[in-house]
Amino acid sequence: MSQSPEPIKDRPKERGFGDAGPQTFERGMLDLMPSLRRYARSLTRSDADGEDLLQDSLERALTKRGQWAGSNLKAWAFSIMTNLYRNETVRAARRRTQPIEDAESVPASLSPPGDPLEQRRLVAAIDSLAPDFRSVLMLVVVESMSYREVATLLQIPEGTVMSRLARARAQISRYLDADNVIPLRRSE
Amino acid sequence: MSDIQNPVTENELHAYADGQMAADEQTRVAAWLAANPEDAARVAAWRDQNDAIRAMFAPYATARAGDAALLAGPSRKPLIERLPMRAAAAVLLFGLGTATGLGLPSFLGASATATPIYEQSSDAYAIYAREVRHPVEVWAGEKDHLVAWLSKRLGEKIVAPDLASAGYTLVGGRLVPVDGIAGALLMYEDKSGKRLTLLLGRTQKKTDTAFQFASSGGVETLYWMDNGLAYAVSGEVSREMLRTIADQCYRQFQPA
Repeated sequence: MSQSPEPIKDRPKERGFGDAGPQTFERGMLDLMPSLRRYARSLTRSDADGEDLLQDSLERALTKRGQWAGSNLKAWAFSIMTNLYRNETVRAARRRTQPIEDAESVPASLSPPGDPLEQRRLVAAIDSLAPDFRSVLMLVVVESMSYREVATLLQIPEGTVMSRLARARAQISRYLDADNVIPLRRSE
Repeated sequence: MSDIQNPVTENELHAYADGQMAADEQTRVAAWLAANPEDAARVAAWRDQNDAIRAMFAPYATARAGDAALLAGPSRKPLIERLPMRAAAAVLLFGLGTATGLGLPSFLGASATATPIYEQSSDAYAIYAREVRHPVEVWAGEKDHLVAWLSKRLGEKIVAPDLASAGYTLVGGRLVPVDGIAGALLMYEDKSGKRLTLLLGRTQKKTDTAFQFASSGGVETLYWMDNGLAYAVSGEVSREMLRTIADQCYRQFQPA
């Protein structure tokens, strides 16, 4: 897995996907693929499910291409993925099955070095979030979207974005409960 | 935080941490934070958390060779053709995890099948610490032999930590299975006969971790990994005491 150039490194809202003309639909979608892949992975918690969600979202985007108003392609593509994920979550909750690969769904490969126990706890903390909180956190933190963009994308008031973000952070903090872990120190 | 003096709301703190604030607003919040260390600490923690989360997911933002085809293609392949890819992805992920050392050892409980070390430790404590006549195989009177024997069976040089400063003396030890291979269980007791166990097992990788607590039915366990060994201290004692003990063990296992 090679680290490819990251097309959406800067704050995307300043990059003006809005001025993408009709010919740039494919180009724009291609540029969005890495961050769509990352978002799919962050929502599904598994590589295989993430890739499936990405493919489903692309298929949906292609068939609905006519509905794209020519404005913000990123917001449009991300909202398609979020909606598919929500629908899938509802279905999965009814099914109550877990794919086998989930056992190996700790972020792999190029993760930063560090205490693996700490990393695992953060992963578990994020995994514990309900889907609606997870998507807000990921859109704000990982995809660097503004609160307003997230509100528009999810079709919820900005205040709801804020309260979900606050609750997601509170839940993560509770989960990480600093009392439970003590950093190792040999000399004192 | 809702007192009248306070012009900064919870939402503003989040917006500040996320860098989603106009410059003049930022100045106002920064001044507030300078005077309110508790809020400043929360904001700092959120920022650290943001960095950690971004770093965690950054590796997934990759372009792949087939991306353009996915966009151009006449939609997707049938499910049956996608299955091998899913399997391959799982294998690849597993391989990457193993190769980079981030696939966590089953000791920590990451694997669905293995019993995590803190459970093995609290189980061992529950079984052996209450034995009156046979709590150990080799008693502390033969300490040198005990340590040499267990080191040999583990394949790692171990010591029996001196916990006298915490009021505990060595009872002895025994060979036990830890994660399917030979491990060591050392037992200590205080003057009142209250016991503690220290479980040692070899790890596949030289991974270091922080101390972490786990509790199970009144038994507290503190476990960690350091330099090729997994450690777990269990006992029906306070977490403070456990921490003192673990600290002692950690120091005395310092590589020469």
